[in-house]
Amino acid sequence: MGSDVIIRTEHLVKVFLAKNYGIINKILGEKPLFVRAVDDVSIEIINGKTTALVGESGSGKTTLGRLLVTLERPTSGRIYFHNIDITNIKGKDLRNIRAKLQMVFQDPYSSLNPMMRIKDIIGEPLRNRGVRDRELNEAVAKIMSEVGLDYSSLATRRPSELSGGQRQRVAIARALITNPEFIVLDEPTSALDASTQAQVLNLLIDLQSRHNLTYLLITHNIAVAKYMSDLVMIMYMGKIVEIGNTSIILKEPLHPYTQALIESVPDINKPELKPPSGESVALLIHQRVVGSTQDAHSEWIYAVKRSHPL
Amino acid sequence: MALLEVKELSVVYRTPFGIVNALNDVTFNIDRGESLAVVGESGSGKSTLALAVSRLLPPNARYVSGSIMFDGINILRLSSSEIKRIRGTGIFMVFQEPATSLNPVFKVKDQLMEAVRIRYEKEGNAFDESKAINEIMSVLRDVRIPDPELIIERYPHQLSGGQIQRIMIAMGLLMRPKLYIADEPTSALDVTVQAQILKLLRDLKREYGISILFITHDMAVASIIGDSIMVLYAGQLMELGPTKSVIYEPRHPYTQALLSSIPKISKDEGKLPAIGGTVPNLLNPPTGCRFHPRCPYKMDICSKVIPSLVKVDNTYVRCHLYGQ
Repeated sequence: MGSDVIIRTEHLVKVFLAKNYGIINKILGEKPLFVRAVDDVSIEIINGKTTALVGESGSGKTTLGRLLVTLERPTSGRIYFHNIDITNIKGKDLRNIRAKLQMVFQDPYSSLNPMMRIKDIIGEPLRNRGVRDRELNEAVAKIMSEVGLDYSSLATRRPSELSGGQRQRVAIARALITNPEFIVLDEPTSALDASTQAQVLNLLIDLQSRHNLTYLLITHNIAVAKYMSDLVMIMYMGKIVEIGNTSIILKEPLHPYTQALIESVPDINKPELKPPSGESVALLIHQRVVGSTQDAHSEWIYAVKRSHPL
Repeated sequence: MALLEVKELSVVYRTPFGIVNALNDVTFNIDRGESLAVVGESGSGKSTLALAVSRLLPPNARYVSGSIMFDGINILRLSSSEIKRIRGTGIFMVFQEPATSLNPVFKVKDQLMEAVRIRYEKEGNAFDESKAINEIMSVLRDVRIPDPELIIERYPHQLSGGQIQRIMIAMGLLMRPKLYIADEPTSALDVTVQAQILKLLRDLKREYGISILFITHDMAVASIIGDSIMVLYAGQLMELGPTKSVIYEPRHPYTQALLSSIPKISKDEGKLPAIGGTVPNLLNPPTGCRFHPRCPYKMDICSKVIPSLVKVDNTYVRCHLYGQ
């Protein structure tokens, strides 16, 4: 692969404090509780392809996405962008790298500043990089037409006047305007209606081929992953448990968790679902906080195995 | 006789911006032990329908016309004290927004215990606390609540949204209502938990003959849970029929578009067929068929006359392409 790899991580770990831990807790002699949101993840993201990151809530997929675009600092491990170590990059270098790494957030109802006009929302990343006046307006108009938004009627509106699909187009335009190479799409259509989801997915694919973009598509929707992605990574409890070609993984999943996940997805051609008989994930996160990661993990996998013999 | 018979129901909301036509001339039946899945996008009126059937519409809503017969009683004629007797063990409802469903000042245990006590009273049995606790524990395990003995000692604010939703579903199981209304109960949950709960509701229907009115935006979920599917769009009932017919032979252009916009292929095999335009604003809905501005088969008549509900084989369709 070599030069085909745009982003590579080595043993990436992100640990969060599970509960506020202040001076009072210290005096009382309480131990801080940690959650390992991303737990020893070593992956390669292939240039120009879409990699889907599939997992349930609390699996750490959003945290991994944020780490890759330098919105979070890893606790340990390294991240490389075109073989440059960006793990601890700072100052001007960080600003320049961030233009190349963008993110579209899940909920366009909360990710756009309600007080700002559409053209200011979309133009802000360029403005921060010193672009002004006519140059800025032209760039905004160009990117708006690319994502299917009419500049003359929408530029001076505010987010509350737009539909969900239009808002997500604004978020996509804002991510695109710095001419990035890599975009993390965090559940880009989960807040949209079924009839607008298809429009946005088609748009994302058009933009990808036009700008040679690399996507990391975070989703819990297997149908969306199947349509959009070339590669898929399945994440469970902070770890990548399975990775490979989308068509192969969705047809013949090897990991018991992937199997359970795919069996649980409702489909109009499936007469019945076969959910895992094990305990729910919430318990495991709870147990993990108190420290028995390994036990809890194997217990769940065991439970899954019983209903899905390999 | 069907358990629930809704005839020509229309509901409007009065808002500062004008009258919102939330539901327009909706007619359907649910038999005992049958499940109906209502599919619609935001603004389709599906939540209004759930609230209308349980008589929980907000004060600015008004029933314009139609009737709702539940178990032989016209619900719209009942006083608020009479309807209270039907709620719970007659009609039980799980809401989309779980956080506000439980009383914040009582422990989960007390609230579930009350549900069991009410059912015991209705059945004419003496209340037995230890028996009730056993029942609660087994239902909580069924809905995959981890550590139920710890959870029931907690207050609602100490639980996550997913946990509260599962407790609400459990409460419904404890009540064993005749009609179980669920408004997007699994939309906030993970797919594995969603699959477990859908399976549980199907078991419940089979074991106790409970009827289910299940509201969802997801056609695939509807096909799993519903014996029949009703498709709503902008307050109009577009199609209603047995699940197999609606899924495999959709008649209405909107149902067809909705089904084909579910991604099934990979991007290398072609584009997703998308529906152009957006869901209309119900303050000022399109005239005639409300889907006509987005419809690929639009005719002159579509913008002028509201199509009537016609029966094609075993399916009801509201579209000018059929009938006459």
